[in-house]
Amino acid sequence: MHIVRFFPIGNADTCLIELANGRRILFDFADMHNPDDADDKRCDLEKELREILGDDKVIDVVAFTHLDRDHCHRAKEVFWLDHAQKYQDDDRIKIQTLWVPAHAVLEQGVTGQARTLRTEARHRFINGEGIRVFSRPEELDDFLTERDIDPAKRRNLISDAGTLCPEFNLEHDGVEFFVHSPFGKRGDDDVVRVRNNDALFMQATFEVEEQQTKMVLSADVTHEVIDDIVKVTQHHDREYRLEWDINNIPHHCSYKSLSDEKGDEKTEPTATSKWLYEEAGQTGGLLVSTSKIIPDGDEDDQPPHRQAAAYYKSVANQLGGEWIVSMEHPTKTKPEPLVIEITSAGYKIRKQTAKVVISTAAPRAGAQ
Amino acid sequence: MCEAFDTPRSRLARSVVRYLVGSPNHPYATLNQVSLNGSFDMLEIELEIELAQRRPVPIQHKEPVRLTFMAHDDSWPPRVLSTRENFPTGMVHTNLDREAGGLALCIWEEAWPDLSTNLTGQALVERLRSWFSSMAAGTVHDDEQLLEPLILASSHTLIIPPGEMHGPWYIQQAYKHEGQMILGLSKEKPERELTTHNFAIYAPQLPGQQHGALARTPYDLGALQQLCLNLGFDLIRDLTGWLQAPDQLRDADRLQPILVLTVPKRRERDAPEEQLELWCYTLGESLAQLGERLDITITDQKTKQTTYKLLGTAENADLPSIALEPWRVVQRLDRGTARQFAGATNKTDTPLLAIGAGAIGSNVAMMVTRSGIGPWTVVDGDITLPHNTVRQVHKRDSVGYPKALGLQFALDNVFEEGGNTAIPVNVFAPGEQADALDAAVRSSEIAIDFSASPAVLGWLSEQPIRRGVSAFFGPDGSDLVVLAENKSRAVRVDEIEAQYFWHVATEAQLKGHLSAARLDKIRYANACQDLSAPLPPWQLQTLCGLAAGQVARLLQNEDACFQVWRLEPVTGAVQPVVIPVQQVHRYQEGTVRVSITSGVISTMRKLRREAGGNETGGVLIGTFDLVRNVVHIVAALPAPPDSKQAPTYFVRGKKDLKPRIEELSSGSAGRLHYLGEWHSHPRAVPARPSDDDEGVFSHLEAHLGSLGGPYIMAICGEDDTWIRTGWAEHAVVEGVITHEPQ
Repeated sequence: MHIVRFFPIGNADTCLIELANGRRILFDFADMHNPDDADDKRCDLEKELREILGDDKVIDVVAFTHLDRDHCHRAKEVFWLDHAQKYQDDDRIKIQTLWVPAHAVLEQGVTGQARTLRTEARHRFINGEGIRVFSRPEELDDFLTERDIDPAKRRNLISDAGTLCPEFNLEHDGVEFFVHSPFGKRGDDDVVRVRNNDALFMQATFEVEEQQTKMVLSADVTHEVIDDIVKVTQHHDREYRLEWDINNIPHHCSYKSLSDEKGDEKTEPTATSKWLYEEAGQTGGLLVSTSKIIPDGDEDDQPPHRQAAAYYKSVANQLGGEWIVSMEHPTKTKPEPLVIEITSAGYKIRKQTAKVVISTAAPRAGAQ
Repeated sequence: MCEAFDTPRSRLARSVVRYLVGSPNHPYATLNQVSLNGSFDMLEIELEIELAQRRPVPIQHKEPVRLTFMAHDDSWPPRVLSTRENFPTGMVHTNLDREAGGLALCIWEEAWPDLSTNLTGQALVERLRSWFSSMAAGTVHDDEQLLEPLILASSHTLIIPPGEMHGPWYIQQAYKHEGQMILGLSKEKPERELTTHNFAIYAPQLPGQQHGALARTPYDLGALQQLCLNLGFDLIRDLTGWLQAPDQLRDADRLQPILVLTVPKRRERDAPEEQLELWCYTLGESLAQLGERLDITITDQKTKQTTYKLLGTAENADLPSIALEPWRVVQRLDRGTARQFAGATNKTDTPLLAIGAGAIGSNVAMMVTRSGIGPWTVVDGDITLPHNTVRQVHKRDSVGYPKALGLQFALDNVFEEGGNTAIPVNVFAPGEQADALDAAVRSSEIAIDFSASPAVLGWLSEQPIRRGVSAFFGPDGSDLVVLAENKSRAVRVDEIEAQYFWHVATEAQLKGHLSAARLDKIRYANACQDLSAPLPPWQLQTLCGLAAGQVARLLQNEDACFQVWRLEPVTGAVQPVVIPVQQVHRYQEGTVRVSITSGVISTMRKLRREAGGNETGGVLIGTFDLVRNVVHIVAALPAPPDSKQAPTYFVRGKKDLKPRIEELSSGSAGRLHYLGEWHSHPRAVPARPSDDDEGVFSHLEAHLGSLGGPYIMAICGEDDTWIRTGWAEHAVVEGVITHEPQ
């Protein structure tokens, strides 16, 4: 059995995958909760993660799908970073291999967490170990040659769209990751380029007792990117690479990941998005929105958008599956991490009542 | 209690409400309504179910249910209805009929009085959620579980024989207990007709049915006729013919009809018929009364003569007015069914041989039999004496008869299926039973020595058995020892016994095991025979239970076994001691058999290696059997400190050797002996006797040969170990054991 977890952290992404063989993959880390706000229902992500990891504080792969705050907040406080001693102490969580899109290495003018992670990515890439960069390989040639590194000597650390990540395979790990984005696209000037702001978009295929369960992780992509991904995948007759049993729907349930138009009650997706959700979705499929509570009205322009939620919910109904919002699971008043078991019978959401009394410390007792 | 809802009168209902409304954590269930309806409290609840994506039964993520509690009496389980209109029907553990408000679900497997003592509101809700999850996964009904009965049981009891449920049936037992009838049926006509009842059996067989939902129990003839019609059988037409037959007309006024309907069941639609089910009903009236109500017979009130009615037909009979009493039907056990109840994993019968029907043998054979494992052939030449009834299965009526026969009789009486055999002889003098004993020895899957006699254990190891086992108690009756050969007999039970003596004498965890043994007796496990050392039956039964469990495990396990269970009589604590069985090298010539454990070889090689360029050596320890001419070498002791070691010679010293050997002897109740000498040869010299070595062997012959026991010399070289065994009146036996790479 493999385990996939999403966390109630508001409009932010973190997904931890624990494989049956003990290996672990973390997609993004955004510890958003405010410890000074008693009403903040977002979980203490660092605490949750450390409880799951236990004494083994090494994660096989940590992927930052892109370096926006809602995907990497407090990463530099929690993880051991190779590039500077100040990020190194025994309490920090170590990253065996870092996965980043090319722009996490190449992007200029970034600050804060993003800048620190860019420095870490560059450090590992220049040293030639502990990293995988997702890009057309040619995009990184200039970066390497400027640093007197033969690009050919870093090709093994770069994965292009349309390939499997070599860190995992079905035979030994019971999972494989197929990269859809970032991808190169031929522009009007007939030059193929990777768009700098493209985030990671992947399909994970789990296998248990020869039965497969597929999960799409779509980060913050817009519907234009999805349109391109679907078209390219269909062009290569690889529709099965977009099939999903679990779909972490993009950008915190933003309508912009479905269409340019929000719609009054329900967003009408583009034809390609419609195909991705309604055709590539498998019977009983699960859609997960890593977002705040779906609002009743339209006062807030920011996601989640209720019209997009209405569409995704209709897809879940159509598939006979489930629609889960991370800040609403299992209740809006007391959200908890969403724990999904992957077995030969597909996914199963763990719905176990918490045994609070024996799983936490007792209150202080005594005469004073 | 929450103000949003009425407060139920049922304690359990209140507990459920309190949990669903007040739980600090999400209970994965929502209370929608509470209603107090006459003498019932009803809760409408929506359950959130943990479901696998791909599931065989279309249970939904949210399932609505209605719980109905007796308002003032929680001694009845709450009724659980699924209120979802399209809840799948026809599933196992649901009822066939949709009643007002929903489909009844069979949630409670246990007796409610037992379950309810610990069933909190939370436990009840969790139980419901778990039931739905299991239903979705298709695991509510275990594959190994017997097929679901098509109708529920009631109060009168019909006991039928094991095996096929086909009639004809005869009543062999009739008894009334607390107002309820108990009838026992047989397939054979009893020699004398039982006159303590007045039932006439009507026993038709219905067409085969697929095992599935419980039909609602019919409580009148109309409902039963409808159920039978649904299953493709016109009950009333068939019953009419039976009632009008001469046998029924003859005693129609006296006899009461009992309906015994046979229904073949299968697991899947196209699967073969797997099981038969019996439905049994009485109607509370005589054959004559039933015939009149069906309008098919007439009874003269004066003469009480019943005749069939010309042109009579039951077409217009008021069938719903004829009440039925459903009976509980239970089947006597054969070994196969007993194995299911006992959780035994073997699927077929396993012939077993017990040598010894005394304290341990009779109790172990009985417990193993109750697990459905057998049949047994019991060999014992003793008769049952009065004092045996304290600790053995035998009872007062067995006293004075052969134990083997008494035990066979007792084992045959456990289930309907017997098949056990007695050979009431001593294995050393089987007389006319020699062929029967030989056949049992060869055909039994496991032959077990329960005799507490080393001689019998030795005899068993020489027999053409498939696998030998010995089970016995320590001398004070608080330790159980089980020694078992592996399935290939690579190590024989007497060879394991020799290892047992070595470990008893040297292992701290077996300290005191043989301390109560009397060195003046050959029998080391003398507790059971020693009337001066009383042994409480509870202590004996405890250890026999462990031995019976071990017999069942051995059938599933091919490995050899050496295990001791040590019972502390004051506290009742049992400490298991598991000793790995060592492989042996065995060689035989003429009448002499010699075995040496792999541990002895590895010890000599280790000491040889540690001696560097010098030769080293020591003495050999083991057991022997003067009757069977068998010697087992179980230990090679290192050189005493005053030994002389040089590159070309070794002189074994004597410091501390005598007390060490005496300690081993007393620790093993006199069974471990000094057997001879071993020494090593350096790398370039083969492990074959030099002139000096021949001198050593002559020395052994001179000093030990006359004593009657074996004397052995071993030489451990680089590539192999050479062994020579001398024994008075037997040829000298030599063997070479090639070393395995280290």
